[in-house]
Amino acid sequence: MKLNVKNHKAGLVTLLAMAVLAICLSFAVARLFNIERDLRSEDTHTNLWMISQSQFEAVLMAESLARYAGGETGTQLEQTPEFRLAILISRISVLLEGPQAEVINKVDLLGDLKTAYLQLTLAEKMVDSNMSAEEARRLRGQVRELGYTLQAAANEVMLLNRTEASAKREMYMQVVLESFAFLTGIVISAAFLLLRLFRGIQEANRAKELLQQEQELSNLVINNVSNQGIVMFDENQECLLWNPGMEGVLNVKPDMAVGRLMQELDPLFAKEDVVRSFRLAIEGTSSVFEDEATDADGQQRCLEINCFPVSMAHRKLGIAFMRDVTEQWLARKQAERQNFDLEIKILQRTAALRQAERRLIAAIESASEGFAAFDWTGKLLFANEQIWAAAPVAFWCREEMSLPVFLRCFAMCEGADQRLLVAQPPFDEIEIDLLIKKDVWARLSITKADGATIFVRLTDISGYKQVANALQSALDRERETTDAYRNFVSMVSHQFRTPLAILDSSAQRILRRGPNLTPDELSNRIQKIRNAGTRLTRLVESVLNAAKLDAGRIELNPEPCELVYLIMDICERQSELNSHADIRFDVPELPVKVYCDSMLIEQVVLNLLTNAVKYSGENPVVEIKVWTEGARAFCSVRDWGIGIPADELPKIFDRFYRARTASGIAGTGIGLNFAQRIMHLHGGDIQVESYEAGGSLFTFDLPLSNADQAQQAA
Amino acid sequence: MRYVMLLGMLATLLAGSSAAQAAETLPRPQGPVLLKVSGKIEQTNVDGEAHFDRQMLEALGKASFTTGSALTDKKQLFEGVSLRAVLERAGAKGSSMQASALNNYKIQIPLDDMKYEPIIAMRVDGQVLKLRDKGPLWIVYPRDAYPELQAQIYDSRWIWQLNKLHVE
Repeated sequence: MKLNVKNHKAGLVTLLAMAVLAICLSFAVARLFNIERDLRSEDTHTNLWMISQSQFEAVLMAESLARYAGGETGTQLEQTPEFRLAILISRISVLLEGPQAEVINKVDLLGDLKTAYLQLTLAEKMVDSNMSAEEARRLRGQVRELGYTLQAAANEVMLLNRTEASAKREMYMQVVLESFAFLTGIVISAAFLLLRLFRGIQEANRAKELLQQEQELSNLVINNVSNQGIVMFDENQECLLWNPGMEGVLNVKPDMAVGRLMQELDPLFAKEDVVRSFRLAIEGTSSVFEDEATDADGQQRCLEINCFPVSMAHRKLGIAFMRDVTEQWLARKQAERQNFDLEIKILQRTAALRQAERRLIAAIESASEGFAAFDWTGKLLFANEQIWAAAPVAFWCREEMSLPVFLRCFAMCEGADQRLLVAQPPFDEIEIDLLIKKDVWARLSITKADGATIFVRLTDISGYKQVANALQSALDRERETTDAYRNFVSMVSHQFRTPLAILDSSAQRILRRGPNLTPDELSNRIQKIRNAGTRLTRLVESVLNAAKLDAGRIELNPEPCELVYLIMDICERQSELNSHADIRFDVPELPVKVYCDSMLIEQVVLNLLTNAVKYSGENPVVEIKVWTEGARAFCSVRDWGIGIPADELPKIFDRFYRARTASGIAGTGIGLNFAQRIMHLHGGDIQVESYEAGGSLFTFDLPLSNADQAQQAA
Repeated sequence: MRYVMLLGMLATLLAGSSAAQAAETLPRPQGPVLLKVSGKIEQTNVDGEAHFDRQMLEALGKASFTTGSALTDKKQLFEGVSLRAVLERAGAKGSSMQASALNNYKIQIPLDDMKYEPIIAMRVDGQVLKLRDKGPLWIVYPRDAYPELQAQIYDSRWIWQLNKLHVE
């Protein structure tokens, strides 16, 4: 680039020098041409010659006239005044026209000459027609006058010439000086150009030398590249260069190849694509291709041919590099073949895999279990219809299901735990049973295969769960029964033994005393025996009632009845039996109509009332309260007796269970259990609130018999 | 090259015409003699010279052109007879000739000048030339047709009041 600019500058300077040279030369030549033209038009001598000729003619004319006037006749034609006058007129007329007139005018004699010319013209007729001697003499005088005028003209013109000549000399001198200046310019620029030329030649020599060296080097390279053939050719496909490497490729010696047509050297160069590539190279387009051929021995051969355009000495040539690439080519072909086989194998395997996958998917789809696969990041790979149909999934995550989302769907199911909410990659293996919708249990199991794929199975285990639940309830019932019997046995051992002991001791005393027994004492003993019998009867009855209830033999016959009246009636009867008890009422004045089996409810109220009296010591106080709330009627029985310990409250309704505060007080542990079961049969409940040594409060509720009542109560 | 060719042509023309004219001898002039040709000539009619009157000259054919001259600035139509024809008629065999005028002017004219086809003018702008108008004969070169003729050496060959040609 820098060199280029330098070259550019040098070129400009050279051009400038040449321009200066040309300008100086042209100016100098123009000056010289001016001089030449000036010299060519220099006719001062002509003018003087013409004037002198005219003057001479005037003299001849005067002489002729003098002869004529002297009467001389018989002279030659040339001597006659007519002839001389004609000659004189022609001479004078030349002085009066053209450039000569200008010169005469300059010396101010044009007028005189014109007058003389007029006089001569006037004299013509006179001369032609036999003029007299007098006339001739007068004319001679005029002609002599003309002669003097011409002499003066010659003098003047000569002087004028001298003046002009000196001016011209000055002008020529100036031209010489100018020419000298121009010549100096010419010399300087020519010297500069010569210097440049000299340097240019030097540079050219150097470049030539360099080129020669390069040529030698390239020849060296071309001739010693043995593994690659190099060939150069021109537009006629004539071989210009054939390196020894070509001999190795095509088995033709360089001295046999150069100068011959390429097609004749090897059939390879007659091939259509080779010819086309060579032609393209000549036209300036590079090309690379491979030529495959089988030689005479059936050996396969592959040549890599690179064609490039080359410009040498303004000729467009082509160069081709040829390399035997048979080995690589064969290897490549083999690799291609293997590749092809491999691809076919892959295709077959892929097809087989696809089939297997389709089968697997079909199997998974047709399975009753839900199945889904996720990758290790939790991205869904596959899920069958059963998964999508699972209730939580169908509700919550139809879109963009990932494993964490999928697991969160199940987090609100019964049986779920924290693991489902916090699941993040890498996921842990989980197995959990979930109630995914009403009465449908499923086992959700997450397993990892190869640490990459995560499989989720959702198995319906409702049947199993049902059986398990049935077994559990059977077991519970069995355990309950066992407990009941154990309680029963313990209760019997306590409650039955005491009356039996009373009976036995009374009977022994009567037997031992025999006749000594006073009637009072006897009646006392008998009364004791009867009491024990009554007690045993009651015990048996309550046990039977419980058994009946267990066997489901108690039927519920609900009917509307008035609760307050029912309770008041029971209490009245009870107060007859327990006259010492203080029973207080807090009941609404309006009747409370409920829907119940009055016989069974009476048992409940009676049980609660007797319990309240029984566990309240010497002076029992019982408060009975009835009220309504919403569509239900409530009844509570309160005492301020021994109460029930807090830890035993949950068990108080178990059959045959008796609180430890109740020891020493006769009871079977059946009453409250019985009452609770009756209330359950009515769709109601019985509740307890109690404090040890503080008393107890039992409350049960029943449905009101109609809506009117309910509204009224509300 | 061109000159050689012209010379060749001239030579053949001269040879051919001289052979043709040789048979016909030059008649004696009837009117006043305008031009006398002497020297190396083959045809003679008076005292070893070839004399031409106006009629004889006009019989040699007409030649004319318009040109400017060194004497005047304006262009003029010159009519007359080809100088070459006159020389051929006289059977001139030389390389040059001396032309003389009635005013005693003399000039040497090489015959080579015939390549410019100069004429002997007898009319200028339609007017017959008389002695007082540089007549009756005036050798005229086609000065405007050839730039090389615009030089003093040729201007001096424009001899007027011509009356003699001496072929050497």
